[in-house]
Amino acid sequence: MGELSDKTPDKELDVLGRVCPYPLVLTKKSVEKMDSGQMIKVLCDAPASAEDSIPKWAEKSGHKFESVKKGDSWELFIEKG
Amino acid sequence: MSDIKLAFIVQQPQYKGETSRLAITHAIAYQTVEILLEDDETVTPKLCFVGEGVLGITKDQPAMEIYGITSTESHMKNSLLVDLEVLVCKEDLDKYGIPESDLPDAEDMGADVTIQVVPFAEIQKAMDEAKHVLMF
Amino acid sequence: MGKLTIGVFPGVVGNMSYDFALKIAGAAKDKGHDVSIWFSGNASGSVIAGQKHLKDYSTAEQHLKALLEKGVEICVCEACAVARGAKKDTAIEGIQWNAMHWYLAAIHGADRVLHIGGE
Repeated sequence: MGELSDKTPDKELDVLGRVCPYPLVLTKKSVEKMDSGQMIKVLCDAPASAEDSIPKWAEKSGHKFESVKKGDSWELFIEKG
Repeated sequence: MSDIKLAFIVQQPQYKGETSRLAITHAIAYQTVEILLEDDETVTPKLCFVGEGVLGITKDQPAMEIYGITSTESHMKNSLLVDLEVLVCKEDLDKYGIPESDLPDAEDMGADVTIQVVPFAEIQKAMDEAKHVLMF
Repeated sequence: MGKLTIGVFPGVVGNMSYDFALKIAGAAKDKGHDVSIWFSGNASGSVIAGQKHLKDYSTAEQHLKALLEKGVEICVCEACAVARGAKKDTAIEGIQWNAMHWYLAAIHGADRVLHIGGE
């Protein structure tokens, strides 16, 4: 467990079963509506999104990011910068 | 600032195959291409429906109940939600007897833009202004 | 020399467009151009490894491997591929897997784009 995954998220977004471009697009839209410092937990099972697109976007946008693998899916924690 | 204008031209009806849906989702991906480009590089698409491409884009589609997949309507709404410019050919809507009021909007989802029903000349203009035209 | 990006959407069987796309990719590469291929839609199924090459039936593996050997960059749409049961660890080695924005990025950097639409 980590710094973000230990906290209770302010928002949860379920994109299980959704594939590109939706996991990142919907995550972006959700984070846009959040205040700085708030955290969202994203449930995702698309590898290209969970392991590449979303973490890359989070880093580029200055958000904190953490990923926890759960079987075939991921819990992604993003704290808005 | 390096912006590339693209025109996605959808000529095939929805649900006949997947190509026409892929046009919408590829166009929506303009929202995420930033992770692969430099900071000052962007892609600006216009998503245009012409000919038979205007078929199958009306509202109240029960695709999830009947097919178990997300409907074209939901993809159209997502396009609007991400401020994608969506143009539908007026002449072709008229040809198929489809009223403009049958087209979906995404106001309830918080979208700021709506589908634009335009003369074909506007779609031609989009193609002329684009660096690349992608036919679906 | 220039950069050519080819978007390939039709399946490999029963459609000469796929064959055309690969041939033009190879020809452009031989001329010294940079070539990138994006597979989406029905073309995504062509990246599965272990395809038996037949004389009476179109298959893609040997052609794709030849293109990779030449230095053509090939990427498949993960969504389209997994929907067809393809798995990254049993796909043709050397082919990238990414999301749809990969195609848009490849288009951004291209001098010419050849978009071969699907069925």
